Amino acid sequence: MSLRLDDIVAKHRGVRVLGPICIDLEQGTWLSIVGANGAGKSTLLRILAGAEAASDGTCHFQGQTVSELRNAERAKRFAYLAQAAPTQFPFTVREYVLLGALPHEWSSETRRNAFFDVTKSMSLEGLFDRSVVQLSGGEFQRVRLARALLQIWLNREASVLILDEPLTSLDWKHQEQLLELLGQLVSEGLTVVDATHQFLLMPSHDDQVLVLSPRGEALAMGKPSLTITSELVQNAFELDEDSTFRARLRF
Amino acid sequence: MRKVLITLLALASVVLALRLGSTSLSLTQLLSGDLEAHTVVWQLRLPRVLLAALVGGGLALAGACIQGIFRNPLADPSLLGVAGGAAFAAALGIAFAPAVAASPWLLAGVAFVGGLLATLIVLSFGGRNTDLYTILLAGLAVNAAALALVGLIGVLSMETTFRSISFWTMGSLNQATWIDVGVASLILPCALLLIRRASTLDGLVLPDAEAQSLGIPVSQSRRQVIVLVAAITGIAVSLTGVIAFVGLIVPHMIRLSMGATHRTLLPCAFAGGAILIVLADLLSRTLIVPMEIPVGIITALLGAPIFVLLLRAQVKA
Repeated sequence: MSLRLDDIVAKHRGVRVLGPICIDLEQGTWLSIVGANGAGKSTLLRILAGAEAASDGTCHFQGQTVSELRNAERAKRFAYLAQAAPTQFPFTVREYVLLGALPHEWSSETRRNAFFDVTKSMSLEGLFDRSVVQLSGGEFQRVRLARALLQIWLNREASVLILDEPLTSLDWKHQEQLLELLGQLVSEGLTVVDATHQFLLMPSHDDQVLVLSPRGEALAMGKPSLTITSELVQNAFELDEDSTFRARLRF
Repeated sequence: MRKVLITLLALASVVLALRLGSTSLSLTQLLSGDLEAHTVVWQLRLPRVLLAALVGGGLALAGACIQGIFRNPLADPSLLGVAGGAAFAAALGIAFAPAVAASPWLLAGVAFVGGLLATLIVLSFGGRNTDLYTILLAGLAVNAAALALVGLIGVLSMETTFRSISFWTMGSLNQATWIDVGVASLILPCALLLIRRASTLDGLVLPDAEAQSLGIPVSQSRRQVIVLVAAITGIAVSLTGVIAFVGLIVPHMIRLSMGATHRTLLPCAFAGGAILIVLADLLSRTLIVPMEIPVGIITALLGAPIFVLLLRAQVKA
């Protein structure tokens, strides 16, 4: 297996907030993590990205223990996008997206080509010289996504793209565009792990789903069409018996 | 192109500051072997102008770095407590240790150590992960307390002591010597080390976890930047006192006019800071001859309106 998490546990001040989580994914899989606010989705993603240490357990990627990888090595294979984070510094769109090239020693031609491909896929043409502080929320989210995509663009069959609520601020057209792009990259060998509340959009694209309980335990994992039931959703989100959301779920 | 322009402006401001003063010198006098001009330039003006350029450049570059790592364009090197700490140590020396007060060298050393100690106190609040907001708030508190104590020492001391203490809180280049220039040149290696970290500073503009995923050791890089900034600010304050506003407004002006990536921002901020202090010092010694207005007052009076105009232009854009 390509990406494996063995009994990952996260504790904050000695209290367990996540886990134990066990995941075993083939390269070229899309895993969506679903759960209530505070269930530990972002913590799990940060552990995967190497930005937070697990209190227990290990992550392995393509036969190597992730925590033993050097920073520079990990950065070439794991790209991470945090939840929406505004900036106050007037980087241009071009400068911001190119931050994704920092871990790589690309030639200027390779860099330029990858930049144009990524920005085209995120419909950012025409915005290159605009300051990111002047963009709308949705435009800036696409710039941030392009930054993360650029990081793994040329090495997708040996990389993991970790996205924390990537659809935030995107209109329906760009949500669809992103989901299609990610689906295509996954079919080309990229592994995507995302946290999302938009799981109703998932059956059309998703390979795997991990549902977390409000206390951070794994409730279920598998194909969304087989895994997500209205009862599971009710437990994961602690919905009332007469919840209108629950009534709308038809699986 | 813009880098060339700002460098030329910096050089022009240096030439202007060498020419003007209580005695004005023409360019021919500057370049010829005229003895009087030679004395005025080499003994008085050149060390003062070079000190102004090094301190101004260093403070502006330090400000740009601090704003970068705090992800806050309103941050300033004084937030690390270094300026307050240095001024407090100097005030203690002036008021209570005659030997320190009598030796400019010793006084500068004491101020430098005071600045570094204050920074260490501030950093210790941030813990191992150098939590930004804790450091920011601790820095504000330490700086405010240190400056309040400086004020208290000033109020409790005699008239002459009060005057020399006020030098530390308002900044002045009055006593500049070649030795000061020698000490201030230590700012240059610190500045170069920071400029070498330009791409790391770019990455630190992202949220910590994203910067980490780009391969940047976030806490370690942040600590290195803070130590270098504290060293620059400590050297600057120990030589000239607290010159306010440079570290805040110059990087902001450069970002608005030249761009935000640190590869451009840091060298241009250095040049911009040098220009501001060289010109402010020129005004401080020529506005009311033979009196000298502390340069910190000029930088604030000169910088504030420019800053507001730039902000207005930004809002309109």
